[in-house]
Amino acid sequence: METNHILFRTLFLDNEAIRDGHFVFTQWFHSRFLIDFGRVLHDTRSSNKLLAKMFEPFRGESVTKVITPNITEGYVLAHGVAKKFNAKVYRADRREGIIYTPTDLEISTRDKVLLVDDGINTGNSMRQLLSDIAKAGATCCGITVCISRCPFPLSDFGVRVETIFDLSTTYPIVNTQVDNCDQCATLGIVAARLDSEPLEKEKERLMFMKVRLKPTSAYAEWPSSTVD
Amino acid sequence: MTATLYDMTMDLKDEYTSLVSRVLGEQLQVTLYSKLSACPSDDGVLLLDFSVVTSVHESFVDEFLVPVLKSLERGEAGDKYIVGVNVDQERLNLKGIDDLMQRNNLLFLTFLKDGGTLLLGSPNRQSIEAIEFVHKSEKETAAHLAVQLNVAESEAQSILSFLGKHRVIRERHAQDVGLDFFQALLDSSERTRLLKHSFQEELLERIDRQRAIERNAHYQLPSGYHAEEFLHLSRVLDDARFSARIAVFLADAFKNDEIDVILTVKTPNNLVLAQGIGDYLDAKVVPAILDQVEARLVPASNIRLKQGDRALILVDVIGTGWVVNLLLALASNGGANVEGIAAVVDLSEAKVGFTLTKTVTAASLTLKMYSPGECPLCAQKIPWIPARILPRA
Repeated sequence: METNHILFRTLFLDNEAIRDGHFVFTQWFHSRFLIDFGRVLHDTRSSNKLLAKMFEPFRGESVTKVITPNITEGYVLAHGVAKKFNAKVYRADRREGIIYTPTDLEISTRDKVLLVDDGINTGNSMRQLLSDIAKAGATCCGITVCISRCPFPLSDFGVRVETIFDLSTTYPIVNTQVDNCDQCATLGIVAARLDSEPLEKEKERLMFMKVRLKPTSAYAEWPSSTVD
Repeated sequence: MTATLYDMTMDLKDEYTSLVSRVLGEQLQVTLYSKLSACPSDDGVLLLDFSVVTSVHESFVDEFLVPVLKSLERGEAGDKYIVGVNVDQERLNLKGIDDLMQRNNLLFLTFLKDGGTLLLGSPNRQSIEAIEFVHKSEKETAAHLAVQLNVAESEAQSILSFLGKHRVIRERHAQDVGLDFFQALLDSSERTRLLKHSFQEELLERIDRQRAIERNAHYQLPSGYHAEEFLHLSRVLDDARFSARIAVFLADAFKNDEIDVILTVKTPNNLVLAQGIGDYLDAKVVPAILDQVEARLVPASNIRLKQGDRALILVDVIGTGWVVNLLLALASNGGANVEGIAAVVDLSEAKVGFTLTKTVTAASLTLKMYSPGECPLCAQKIPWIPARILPRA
């Protein structure tokens, strides 16, 4: 735990990856904090530190397919994990807010699947993928992520879930059906972008950021290559 | 003469490009013996490809290479040879490995990336010449060798007694096969052809096998061009180890350029390749996204370029060069110096000349693409689909 604490500080706090503000994940799930993984993976050395820890719990498994619901940072981590297993990587597609398992994905009943992502926020995408894998009849070895901020207990997934950092108490996500969101009361709703110019701390607190689990049309079909 | 090329990193399970033997040594030995037995006897030689290996530890040599070479010496695997090719001297723990091989009384012939040879475990640097001499001559006497190598006779005697213990000399000398295959390997142009051919061919074969080229499509590319055939490179990069090999292949061309940042577009393919290259070159990754207002790229996640950074531009596919030009503009706005451009596949048929900067591509392809006014599909009134290739802010 002590080493994890130091690792967290160097990777996340020093890279300013924790963003303060008011972030809405889905309609009911709000948080004061957002973790911008792009800033962590900016330094290629940090991904290696994370990958070793993500791979370790599943070392003995013979994983054949690695699937990720994330198309950017999660995909990079999935590649790193798959490299160690000599497995194939598939990224889930999102169209109109619904997560599809990849079109050219052929999961057979013999496959052992590992789900990899940068973090579990509400766990919706993971649940969708898990049910898709179960439908295909493949075995799911488990889920390995860097960060868990899930407001539900991780045992709810029904598979083995391994996380490096459990931040569900330090940087919590509030289920507004159960609890009140402090930020909603104090801040109101102001639209801002994650990649906007850096703001001063006070201004940044006034940010409202909608994390698009339901993507816009531009995100709907992810580029399979940049043929220009 | 038949040479089989084998990249053992494909069969390593744990650490991919760094050769460290753990429990995997035994498993790898089995694979290697099967590769050896697939080589035809008499003139079979197995080339161990070190082109994507980033480091070789002593433990790997101790637990893997030494037992294999010993059993070869005993003649257990038939009349075969193992030779290392594409070895990068800087990436070997040279002294440790040399000592280890000498302790075990073994020789391992390797060919370096930049030409030249290195005999691991040799008592002196003239051993290669000695091998050639002994192979050619009918009489392998110390006196002859001393004249040939211009050394004292006592030293020649010690070299000869050392070499005499090794199968590489003992059974082959003065026979009809002789040194031919070694000389063929020593010919660097031949070796380059063999290796380069193999990687490019594998890439093109995978593109073909994964059906990565979509035919009979009609896309409008962001540059205004229309495409009848579209390359979905992500189907090739799905294989994590192969994408790592591509990354190392591209990174190797820039290893002396002291790259600080890798400028790329924030799409899945590019991010994965950029991570691999950045890992190899110890560089940072700056992914860019399309600005909402203008047609220009801006760095994602508030990452800033530093003045005077040495930048490498990475795109997975060069089509018309539109994206590369946007990235070049981003670099010049941020004050970075572009040291090179890396791409996996070049579709431009070398028509796009980025003459000022070094451009490295793994393969070239020709696809049916038309400039805006000349599209025959538009003439047939087939509707086109806009290809979304860039992420927006």
